[in-house]
Amino acid sequence: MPSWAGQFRDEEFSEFFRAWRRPLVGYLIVSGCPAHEADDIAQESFLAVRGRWDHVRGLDQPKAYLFKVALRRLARARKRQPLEVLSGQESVEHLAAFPDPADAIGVSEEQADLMAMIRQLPVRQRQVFFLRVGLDFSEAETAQILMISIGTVKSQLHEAKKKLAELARKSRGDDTR
Amino acid sequence: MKEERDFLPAAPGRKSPGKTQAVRSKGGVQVNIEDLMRDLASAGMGLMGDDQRAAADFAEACQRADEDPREQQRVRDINDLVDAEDAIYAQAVAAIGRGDLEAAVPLLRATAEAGIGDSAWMLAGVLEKLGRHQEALLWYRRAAIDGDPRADDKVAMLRHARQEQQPRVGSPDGDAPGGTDTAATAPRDVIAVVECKTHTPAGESIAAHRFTEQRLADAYLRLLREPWTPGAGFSSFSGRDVSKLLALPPSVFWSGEPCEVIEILDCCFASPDASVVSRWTPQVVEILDCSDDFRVPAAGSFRRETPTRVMRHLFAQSLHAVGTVDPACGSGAFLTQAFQVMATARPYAGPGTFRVRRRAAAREAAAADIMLPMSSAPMVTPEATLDEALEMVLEHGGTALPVADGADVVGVITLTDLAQAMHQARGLPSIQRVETLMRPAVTVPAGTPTTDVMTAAAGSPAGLLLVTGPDGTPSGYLTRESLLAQPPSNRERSAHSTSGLLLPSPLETVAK
Repeated sequence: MPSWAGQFRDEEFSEFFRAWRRPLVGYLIVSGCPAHEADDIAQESFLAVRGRWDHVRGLDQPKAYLFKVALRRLARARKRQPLEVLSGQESVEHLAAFPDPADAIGVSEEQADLMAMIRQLPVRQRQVFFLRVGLDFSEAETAQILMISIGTVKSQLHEAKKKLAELARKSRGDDTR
Repeated sequence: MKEERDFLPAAPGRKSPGKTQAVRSKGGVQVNIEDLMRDLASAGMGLMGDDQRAAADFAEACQRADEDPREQQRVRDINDLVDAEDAIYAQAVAAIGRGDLEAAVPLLRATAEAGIGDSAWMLAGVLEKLGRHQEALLWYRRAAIDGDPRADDKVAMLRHARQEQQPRVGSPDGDAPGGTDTAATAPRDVIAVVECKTHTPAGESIAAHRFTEQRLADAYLRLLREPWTPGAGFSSFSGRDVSKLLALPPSVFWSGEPCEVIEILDCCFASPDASVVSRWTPQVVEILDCSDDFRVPAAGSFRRETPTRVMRHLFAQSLHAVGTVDPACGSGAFLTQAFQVMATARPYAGPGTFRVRRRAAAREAAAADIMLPMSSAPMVTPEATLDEALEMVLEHGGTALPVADGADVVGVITLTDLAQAMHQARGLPSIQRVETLMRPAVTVPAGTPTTDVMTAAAGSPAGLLLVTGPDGTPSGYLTRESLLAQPPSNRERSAHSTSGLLLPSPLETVAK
């Protein structure tokens, strides 16, 4: 990849962009962002962080800020879509909001299976699971990004893991037919 | 290849004989899922665009931001907005802290719209305290969708509270001795009322059993001494916990003389301050010839499971109940969705714990017996905007609304139509009026037998029927959801006992 450091801002930000773009897109998708919009929202979020780079870098929190901004942009983009409260039926809504694993590129079959399972979690659990497990963020960082308490982070992570284990058990159990 | 699709085969580098082992051992699965998740996360869930391309795009965007003052301003605005939202959230939290709930509402509404933290949950709580229950319900529902487990109970509670306020209708005369508003008359320290028919050595009797917190606690203690392994520990009583108790063998639950519960007519659970938490009524879904699908609990053990085959069976049964498979419903999606709710409703009683029988219908109920009164119908005017109509549909938890011009019902507006129209106009303030989307109302005469009503409901795209009186004016209405909650009457029953499921009542919203 050519170094875009000049245009991006500086080497440090360029590094930041390269390191966090994919995880950020993943995070947006897990949060219910349509795949075709995720790249755009990610780009906007990076622009915002870039606009405040000196400030957030000083606080040593650029990634937390990045993920926070991204979620806000997503909420804004979806604001006029009644989809979210439309049905009162979690599962239906989640399926609509979460891309089909079949569209994913370069993932193994196991990963596609995991995606299908994550799809069945409520959004908040997906986010916590993604940040805590997928990206190894600390409880405090996750709580800060999602603006929830550390206790909620813990309980939601627990719920998510429990549900995933259950789904994994089911998928290799009686229901393969 | 089906074998290959088994979830979580060997981790990379693991040999295939280890495959089953990795899957079997619980710890192995955990590690496996987590490793997979890390790979998936760093791959952008496999759905990100091309790296090179994105970097080039971003470089361009950076350049624009540096050169174009308007773009610069826009980026600044994004950041300022984040700050503003954070500040509003902090203010809202502070307002709640000092008890100024009215001030907190608009603040929280803004942050909840932006999906910040627990705003939806907090807003719902504040609205509930202020007595604005319908609005609260909306936000609890939003919080529940986001996965806040506390919100589920609240949604059930508020739904029920709203039902309590409305007069109960449609109870066929005389054949339902119970099923009345037992909670409303319960003394304050009673937190559960279970009305049931029991069989004792002395004979059958119907009685309302009232449970105080103490009595439930006793039952719990007895339960703990039983060789029974609950899925989770209990810390406080909620409707869900109590229904866990109800799902236990009756000998554990009912103290005193040995008795067999043969019919649960109604169960209400209230919190100690007497605000009703939830009500579980037997929804009569017959379970025939599928007993081997249930893991009938062995002595001393109890596990709730809903095998897929049972679900399928129930689905088939319910299609039968409606009497038709409506091509408009495709695979009968609204019914499967109705049962999805059931699958997530954890409390579930299988045969062998206790049996619930359908209330015998003295005669086949007619439309007039089961309809909801027109006076309680939420209605929109033809001039209402789509936003207003959508809000009403959501508030009332159905999938369609009658449209009334003065006293005349002129049509029906459905959630699906609304959603489609609003989806197309997304991002734009909608000035479209309800009348442009309205469908003609389907009517049935008051004397129509239930089975015919169900056929009509299945055939009506709106899923909402108006019941007309002798003079042709609508006197009541029926929805698919209200029909589903009715016991299928007049259907050939098999001789052996039928079992029912305790389901939250009323049925959850069914989206078409």
